[in-house]
Amino acid sequence: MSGRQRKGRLGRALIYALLVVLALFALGPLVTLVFDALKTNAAIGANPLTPPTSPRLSNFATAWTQGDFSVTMRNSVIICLGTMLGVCLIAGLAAYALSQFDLPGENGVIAYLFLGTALPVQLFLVPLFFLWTKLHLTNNLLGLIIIFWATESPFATLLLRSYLLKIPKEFVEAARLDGASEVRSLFRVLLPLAWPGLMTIALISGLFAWNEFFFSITFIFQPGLRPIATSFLAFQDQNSTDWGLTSAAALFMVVPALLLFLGVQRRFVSGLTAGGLR
Amino acid sequence: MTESATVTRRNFLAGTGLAAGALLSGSALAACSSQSNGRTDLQLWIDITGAANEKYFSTHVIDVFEKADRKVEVDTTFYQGQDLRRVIQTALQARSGPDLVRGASASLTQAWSKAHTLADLSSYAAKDHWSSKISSWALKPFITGSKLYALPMRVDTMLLYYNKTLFGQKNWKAPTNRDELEALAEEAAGHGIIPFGATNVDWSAASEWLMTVFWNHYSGPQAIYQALTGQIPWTEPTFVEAVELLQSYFNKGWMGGSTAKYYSVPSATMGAQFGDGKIAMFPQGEWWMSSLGQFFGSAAHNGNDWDWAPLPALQSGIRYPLYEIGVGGSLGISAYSSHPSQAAQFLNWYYGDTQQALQRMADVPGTYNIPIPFSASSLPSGMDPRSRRLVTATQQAMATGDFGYVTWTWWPPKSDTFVYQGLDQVLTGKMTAKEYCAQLNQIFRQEMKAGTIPPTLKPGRYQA
Amino acid sequence: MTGPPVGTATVEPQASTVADSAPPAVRRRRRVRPWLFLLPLILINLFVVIGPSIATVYYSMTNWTGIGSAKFIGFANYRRAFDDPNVRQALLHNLIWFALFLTVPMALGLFGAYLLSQIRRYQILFRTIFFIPYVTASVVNAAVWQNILNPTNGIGVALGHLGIPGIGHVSFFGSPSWALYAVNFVVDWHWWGFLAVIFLAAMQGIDPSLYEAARVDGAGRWRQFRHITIPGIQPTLVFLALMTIVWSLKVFDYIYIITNGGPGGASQVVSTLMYNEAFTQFNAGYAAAIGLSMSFFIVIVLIGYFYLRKRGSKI
Repeated sequence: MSGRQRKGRLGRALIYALLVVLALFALGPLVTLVFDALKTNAAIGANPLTPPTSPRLSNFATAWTQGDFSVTMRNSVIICLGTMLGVCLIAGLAAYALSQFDLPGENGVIAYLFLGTALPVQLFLVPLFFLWTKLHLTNNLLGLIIIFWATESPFATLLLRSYLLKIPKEFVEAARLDGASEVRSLFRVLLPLAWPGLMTIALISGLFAWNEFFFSITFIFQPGLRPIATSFLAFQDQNSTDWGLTSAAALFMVVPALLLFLGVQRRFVSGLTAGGLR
Repeated sequence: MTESATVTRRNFLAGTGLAAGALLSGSALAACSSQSNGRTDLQLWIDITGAANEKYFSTHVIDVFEKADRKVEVDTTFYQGQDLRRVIQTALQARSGPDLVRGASASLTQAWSKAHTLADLSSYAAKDHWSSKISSWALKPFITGSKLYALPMRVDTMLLYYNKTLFGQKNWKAPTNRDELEALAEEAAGHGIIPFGATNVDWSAASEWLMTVFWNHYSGPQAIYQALTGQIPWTEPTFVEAVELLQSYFNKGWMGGSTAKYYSVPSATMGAQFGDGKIAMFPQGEWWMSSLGQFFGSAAHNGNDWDWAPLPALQSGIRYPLYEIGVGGSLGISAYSSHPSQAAQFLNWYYGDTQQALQRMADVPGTYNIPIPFSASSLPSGMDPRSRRLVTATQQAMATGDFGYVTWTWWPPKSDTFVYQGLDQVLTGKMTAKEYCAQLNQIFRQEMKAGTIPPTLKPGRYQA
Repeated sequence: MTGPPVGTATVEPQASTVADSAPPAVRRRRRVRPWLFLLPLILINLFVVIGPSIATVYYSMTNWTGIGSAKFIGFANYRRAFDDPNVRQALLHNLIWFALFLTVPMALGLFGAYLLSQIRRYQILFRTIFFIPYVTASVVNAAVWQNILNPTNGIGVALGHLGIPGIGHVSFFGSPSWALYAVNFVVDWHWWGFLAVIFLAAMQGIDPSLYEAARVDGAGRWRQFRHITIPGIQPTLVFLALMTIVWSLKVFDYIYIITNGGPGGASQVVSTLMYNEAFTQFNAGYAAAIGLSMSFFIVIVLIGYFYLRKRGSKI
């Protein structure tokens, strides 16, 4: 083995070693969730961070019924899908307008969008609730989804716009020349090019909607409409924390989000690769 | 490329259809009228947490009431304590929210009433003779002028819980005065046992429980009454000394093991340590009686048991036993409710059906102790003797006049908030006890000028 | 990807001829149409953001307690915020937060992305694992770390038993000197994987021939990184740095869940202070003033960014 090859081998080994360290750092804490979900409370009290000696699945069954997860998971799926679809549509149209045309006042709109990502949402709670009550949008999944559209769309628009900027204007121009109407040119030409970008904002807004708890608790009070974060929080009873049940509940919340990510991650990353962020 | 475009369009439409259908059904649910087949639906939002507690409330309170009054249904939504306050206040501001309003503390309830968001209960009280069904002293914080705006939900007091088995082993006795208390604490600390359990983690206002204890058992109820009525300022040396005494216990590491642990160890963990005998005593409210049991005996795999004693006098001249008394929150009717008389019917049942009320008191210790008159003999026989002792002791304290004042009932809202937020600054070394009392005094004087001090209970005897 | 021919010289003049020959109605429609596309965003924003914002501006100039009526008091709240030591302390904490949040996750993200860019096998696996903390909800992450770092039988205690000095008795979230940094650690842990994935994608967009040329010139890994990788992902870096500044001032969730600004204000930031003033202290008008002052800071930062952009620096 030449010196250079040996150096290459060592370098490679070192890189993998470092990656494993980072992976343990990222995944380790959440692995304790899996461990604790499989243990009894006594075992957790003795040793909260080690693998279970005699794993049992009863925590999952108990947590599922106690947390009413069948209802809350369904609600969160609806909220998540609704948010993703809405954000993709709203941000998609807006990003298209801001990237493919030279609009007067475009900079103003962009500055305004940046500002939109900067406002502290806790302040809006009371006036927004007041408005939503008047519009009969409280205690209503659609009402919550509309709020999420408003909070997520500015950032999504900015992100998507940067992808679309990389697409040469000639593509769309040529399609328009072919006699295609605006909408046709959108769907046929731009959509496939922008698809990875759309996947990116769908993922980010979907994860946000799935994990959100602050607005969800305030705007929805009918138990049958509550999202999954409330199920999890219900296990954090101040008087007694059954960490085994809480861990199982946590996994019910984490695993679907993870599946969503795995489902779109190839497109997500290829989208980032092709578009970059500008 | 065409293929992917069509697929996406189909998915898009399918997705939209699914979402739209779900959303519409969700909206339809919300738009349901609150009257179905002749029954009125009331909304109640309440801070009861934990599956067992929620189940008990649903079956032994709501279901029993609905069977008794077939015309009214109560839909309950359960919240965590810190969320309930924000959620109800936000809803009331929007002129909506639950019909039955659960206020976390008397001062909060008063703030809501001042904003005209709570209905006047005087007419219902007169009609159904609530003054004979509910202890008069407990109604006092909720009366402004001639209006009654809420009903007291729980008799609060502070107790000294202790690990009975541990005390038996070490031949310790529950302390009655400061010398005994400190000697006991020293001895416990010497054995590596934490003298007092205390934690702020699950309830950020926990510091006011401790301040209540020290002001009542060091400065005494007389001094507090004078301060609450504005006769003496909060900067009086006796109040400052009480704060300093509490601070000294923290500095000695007696409370929870260390100040840092007080701010980071959850009560479930501290409770477990208490059950195992690693903590000797626990100054806590009577409400803790409902969750204490899980840390002792077969439930916790230790052979230990607990008991409680009145908190000791921390200065000579202070009575023993002395119980600082207050009201743990309130139950009222929203000014925006469309069914106030039906809501009043629920309240009438909750306080009026004595047999049911006493049964609840016995079933869940320390949770359903509503201030109603009762005789000790009418308490259910299966009641835990420690719980029985508690309800009779507090009733007796009011009858003999040996009571004190808890901060979360008798202090005005901003002062009450400062009591615990300011104490946190003192305990973390950001403020001295003197500065703390000075600032409290300043805030209190402002509230006095604004007229937001709840009516103060004069020292004296109060029949239940 | 197939498509119509791109960028031939004839396309441009043809386009303008077509546009010029269109009747004025069509031309007007064409000008209006992009604004129609912007309409959903603007409408939604109007309802959810502008409406409540105007209310917030109004309330910031009143003595509103959070419930009931409000009396106009002019700029008194703003003057008070300017002098309030709690506000200053919260801003200081935001500044510390910003310094940490800008550097630690970025450094880890760049490092992780660089490592990932050097391998092909298992790249997707590692990438997924790094991303998982970002996927997990803040309430779950907070609960997990509170469990791991608890002072009774957590990892600090375990390390203390192993002989590492000092750490066995630390109460990470409960001690005033550690609380802010401990929560920041959890948030950094949550965030760096997201950055790593984004940086990796940006790195993969760099022309490999640049690296070849550098290698031929004898440049080592570090020089390549500094002079090719970093400039190559500069737009991404700047965009994310800008968002980080904005998000540092907004940070709320984790602090609210874990310490609620405590103990004794040791981890209080502007957003938790605002929440405390609005919902615990009955000072909702004052809270509004604090919040809007904070947004004003952000506006200044954004103006700076746009000014630099206009000046032509490629960011």
